[in-house]
Amino acid sequence: MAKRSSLPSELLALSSLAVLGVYAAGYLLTEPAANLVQQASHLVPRTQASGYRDGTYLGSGRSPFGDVYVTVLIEHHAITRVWISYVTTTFPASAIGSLPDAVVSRQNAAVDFITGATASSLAFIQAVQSALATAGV
Amino acid sequence: MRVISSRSGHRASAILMDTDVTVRLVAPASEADAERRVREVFAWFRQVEAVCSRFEPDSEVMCLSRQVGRPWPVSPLLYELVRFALTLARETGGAFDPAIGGQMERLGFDRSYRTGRRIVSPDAGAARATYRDIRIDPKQRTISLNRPVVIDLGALSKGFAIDLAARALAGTAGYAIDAGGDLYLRGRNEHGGPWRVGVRNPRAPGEILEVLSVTDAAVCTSAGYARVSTTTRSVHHLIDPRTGRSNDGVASVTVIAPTGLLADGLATAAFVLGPSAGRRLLERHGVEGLILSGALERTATPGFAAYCA
Repeated sequence: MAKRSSLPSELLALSSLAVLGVYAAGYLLTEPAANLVQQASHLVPRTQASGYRDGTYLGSGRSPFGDVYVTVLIEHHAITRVWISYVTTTFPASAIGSLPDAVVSRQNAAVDFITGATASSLAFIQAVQSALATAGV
Repeated sequence: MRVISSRSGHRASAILMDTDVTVRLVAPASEADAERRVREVFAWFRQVEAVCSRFEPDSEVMCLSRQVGRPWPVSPLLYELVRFALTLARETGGAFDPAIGGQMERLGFDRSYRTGRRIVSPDAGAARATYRDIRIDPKQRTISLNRPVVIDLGALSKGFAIDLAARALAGTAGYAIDAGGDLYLRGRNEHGGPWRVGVRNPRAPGEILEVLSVTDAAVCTSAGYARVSTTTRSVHHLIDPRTGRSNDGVASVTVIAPTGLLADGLATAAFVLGPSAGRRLLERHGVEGLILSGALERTATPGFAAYCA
């Protein structure tokens, strides 16, 4: 029979650290996702018939987890590119990485939320909305 | 969600992560306090699922699987899970390997329990990815894939979820989180006695083979009976990443460990390694466990008997 090692197991330590690492990140789970979705329904813009003004516009949106900053490029009165310039959210930008393309497809900020990244999605939508507000929406 | 509340205890259940999750809270301060804690427990399960689900195309792990060849910043939750998964893979020589998502899809484990929709990933037809195709950067907290990899964290995510969820119940007289048979137990039960855990007969899951008395620990079981492949007969969901097939030598492994993440991971690895190598793995990491072979022969770590009621 194998002798039990007297050294502490690296795997055991790592599993405890993994849990502590997530706690340290300060996940806020008390806000029910339903409330966030309701807030978003007030943000859906009316359809813009005449198109946007050409230019590069910046916008930002806030969430309980931090802020999302976007850049929106408008060419020939249409949204041609959207970037997530910077996030201060505890969640990474990758969680909402599919949303910039979705904005270009829809030509407005009313994109679907990403499951599990509801707060970041909302902040992103607000950010695009504020950018489009200066583009003459 | 089902809730039963009384002076001695508060119990609630919900279906989360394709599993029946039950929380038992002993002598809560108030019903409102119990409900708040239970909501947080379930919220952790939803959070883990949103990050780890292989069946939702927009989960964080599936978004990651499409980013090939560049470092991708990930959430602390996904980072910690992948870091642990890679360490376990190296430690077990690939008997545990989180890169098997593509293999799992090919074997038919590809359907979301919630929507019924099939998931099809780019690497599902490609050459077999391994854990060596996944790299992490500890400074930047990024993950890089050198080919499309569907990272399967199903073997770890329930154990991790119960560890995270346990924080919501800290400071109470006792509690039990039961996620489809993976457990985290603290203190004493509603009757003031130790928590009692039944070890199922893997050949007849309605039957209990033995009863354990456990507290202040996680208990996780890997077994082949629960989920079976729809495309390949005789293959269940615990495949050996090195061969792409299930081993017949082991019917179930039950591990008792300080954390669910460790118990879940070691139970899965020991299942693939077989009774002797599996037991050596458990001993090496200072945990207790029971391995049941296909013929129900018992292989137990030396300290396991102390848990038998």
